[in-house]
Amino acid sequence: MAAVSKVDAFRRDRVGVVSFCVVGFFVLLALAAPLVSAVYGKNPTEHYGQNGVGLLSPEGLPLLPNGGVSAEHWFGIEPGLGRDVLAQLLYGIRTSLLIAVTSAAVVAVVGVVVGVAVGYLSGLADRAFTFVCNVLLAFPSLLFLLTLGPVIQTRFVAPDENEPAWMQFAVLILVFSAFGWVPLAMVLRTVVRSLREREFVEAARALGASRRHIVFRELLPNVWAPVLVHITLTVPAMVTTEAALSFLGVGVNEPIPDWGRMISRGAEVFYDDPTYMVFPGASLLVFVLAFNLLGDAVRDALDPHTVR
Amino acid sequence: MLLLRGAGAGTGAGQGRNSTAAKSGQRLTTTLGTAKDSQGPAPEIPGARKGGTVTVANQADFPHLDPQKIYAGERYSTSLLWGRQLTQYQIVDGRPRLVGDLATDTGTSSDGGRTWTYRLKDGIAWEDGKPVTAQQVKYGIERTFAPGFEIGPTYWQPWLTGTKDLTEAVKKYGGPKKDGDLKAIETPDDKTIVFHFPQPQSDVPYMAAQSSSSPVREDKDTDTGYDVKPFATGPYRIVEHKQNQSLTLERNPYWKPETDSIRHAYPDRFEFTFGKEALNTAQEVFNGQGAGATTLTTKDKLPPELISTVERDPAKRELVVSGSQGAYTQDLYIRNDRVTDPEVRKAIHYLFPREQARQVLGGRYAGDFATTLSSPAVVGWKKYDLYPVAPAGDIAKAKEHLARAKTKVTKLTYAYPTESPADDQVAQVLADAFGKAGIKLVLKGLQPGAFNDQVFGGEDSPYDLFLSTNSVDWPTPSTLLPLGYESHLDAVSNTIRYGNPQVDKELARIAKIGDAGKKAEELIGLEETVMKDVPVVPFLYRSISQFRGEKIGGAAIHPIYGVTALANVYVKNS
Repeated sequence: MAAVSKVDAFRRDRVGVVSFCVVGFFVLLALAAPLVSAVYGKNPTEHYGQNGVGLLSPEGLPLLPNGGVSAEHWFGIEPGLGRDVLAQLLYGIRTSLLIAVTSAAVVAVVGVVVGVAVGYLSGLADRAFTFVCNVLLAFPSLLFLLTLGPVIQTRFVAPDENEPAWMQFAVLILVFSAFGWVPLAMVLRTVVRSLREREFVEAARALGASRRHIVFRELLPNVWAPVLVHITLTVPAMVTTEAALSFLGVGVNEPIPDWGRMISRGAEVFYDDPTYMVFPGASLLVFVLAFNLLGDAVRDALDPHTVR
Repeated sequence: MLLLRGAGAGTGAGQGRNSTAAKSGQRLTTTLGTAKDSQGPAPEIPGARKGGTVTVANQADFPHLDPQKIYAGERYSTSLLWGRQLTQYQIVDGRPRLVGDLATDTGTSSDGGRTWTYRLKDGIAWEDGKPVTAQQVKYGIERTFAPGFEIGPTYWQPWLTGTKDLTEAVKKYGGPKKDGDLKAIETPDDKTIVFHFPQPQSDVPYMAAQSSSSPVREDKDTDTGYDVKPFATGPYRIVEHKQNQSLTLERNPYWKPETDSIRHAYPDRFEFTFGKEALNTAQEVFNGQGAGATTLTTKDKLPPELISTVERDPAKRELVVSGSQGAYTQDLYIRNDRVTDPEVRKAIHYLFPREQARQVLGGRYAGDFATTLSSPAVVGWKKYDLYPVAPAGDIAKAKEHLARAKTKVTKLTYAYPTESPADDQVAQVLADAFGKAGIKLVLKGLQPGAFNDQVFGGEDSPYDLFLSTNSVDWPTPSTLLPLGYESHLDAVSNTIRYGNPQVDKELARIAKIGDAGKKAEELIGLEETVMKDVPVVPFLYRSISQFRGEKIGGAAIHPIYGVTALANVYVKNS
């Protein structure tokens, strides 16, 4: 019953529905990227401008106006190498979403397990948890990532080999998860602490329910709302962080398409080809905005206390 | 070998047909001037006038000003304002001619090239009016043996001691402070200096033009202090040098134009400023803001961001100073001990996407396609094209050669310094082309410092290919093959570990030739033999584009040093 009314509440939120559709559209594009680019007839790695004729000037700028937008290349071509912008964007969603969603999933699992357990246990576990959280919150995670890249390169990658794609992804996901679970766990700890004293938990305990039963049957069903809200707000945050890292050159490397790197290239050629900045910039903006609005809508729908 | 450090070559893009990009690799062969050519004053530039202040805005200060520590084209060129050497390049109509600077001519050799004699001109003086003597020139050269001076060129030391390299040379003589007088240089009087070399040397006139052949006064030799503010013999003296901030030059009242056929010294003052971003300087210069109209740069390049603006606006295009970057060439180097099969190297030669790579480096702004190992600026240069290939590369031909290789190559590593985004793009371009020929190219972007250490430091680094921009130390072929392609050299000199017994034998024979012309001819002839083995893939004769304010006249790229020459600039009448 309750779930149905919440879905209804979400449906009544027009912004929420639109943003849900936008996010759904992006996810669909990511999943169907190979299909879409096959229909479109372009792939993200081919240097069209360099190998074709009449696309790039001798100095590497798109010859056609607006960054080489044409019937052939809908969003234009990349200055320099001349790759197709639309194909790069499509595959770029995959990179962003793969990293963000996987990290969010890890964050959810770790955050829920730790948060609920600590909230229920209190005592020594709680003190240890608070200390670990404080350390992790104080940790300069961006600097850590900046320094981690070269270390991994020299330690785990043979000098005559490239860092494999899975390793680049794994490192980012690991670091995002390692620091991302803390806020969720802290929220859940507080929620569980107040739930623990509620009558239904008291009753279950009085009836002799096991700890396991109390945690999984009594407490967990009551924390899914903050988890869902947290996750929908974490994904866009991770998408922007990943883009920022790639912008700084420590994210995902060439030739894997990536929005952050596209924006960084856009900044380099901004004087000569401002259009190139527009497509990845606008895509990132729309995507993150939609996801954030979706997160807000989910929170509004799930939290009866918010009055709009 | 003169390495081009910090030259990201990040020229990006531009449009339009009337490109300002200059033709690089013009045949600018240096000629040896006569004693008459060495007499001052320098031939007048029509329209030039005396007076005014020129601002030189460079992003970075000079790491060294000590004449014996200076070792880079840009510093060679700029230090001509205050420093003089035994010989120097006179530029007339853009053509270089080696003439006597402090000396009356480019030197006379006897004893089959083992003895070289120079006579100093009359009327040459220090900034305090005292005359420049032969003993001071000798003292300057003696300093190059001392510890701390190994960062300068390392030719005088082995030549004068008859040793193989600097390490052995300094064992025989360790500088004036440690070992006193160097017997190999004789100064019978204040005006005469005689070099005695154990082996015949043909390139002494060129070495005499390097900054390390500048005189130094023992009483002014303050070691580290001298590195910040050297004592002047040229038309200007250093008034003040605030490191990383500014350098101010004023006229040296004791410099006489009739003793100098190289320097014009039109402006009254030079004000160097350091620390401003090249893009900001360029915008001030192109828009004439502040001192922009009388500003130029000797270190900064035309920022890639401004190329298309410049190409569109003819008034701004005027302000671009372009030219061949001395004798600098950019080539794809192959580690011959790692890629041992000549067929594989030939395949690399054919598949190398020259056009695509140059496009991301800035197209014509980067330079012209090269087919030879040495630059056309080198004495005796001859054009040859042993394995002609279309600029876009020939994948089919490359596959043919790969099929002929004894062992199949499926993977190669390419190392590059990550100095500018263009470097990453060149790497992508190469990976694309190699991929089409069925070779997986592993791309290793390295910090510039690490790249230089690993690739040029003699380490056994696991990289097969690298792109590098280099120049010979002076425009004759005598430092290229003998100091880079002889199999017994260490890995610092013979970076690519090239070895061919036939070439070794020829080099040993040519080393005994004392006549400069014959030696150059033989070495250029040998170059084709070397290049038949494809030890490197020639890529570009580099160009350079800088900028100057609209009131600066006479600005041109120095054909030897490859930067805007300050000795010829003047402030136009407003």
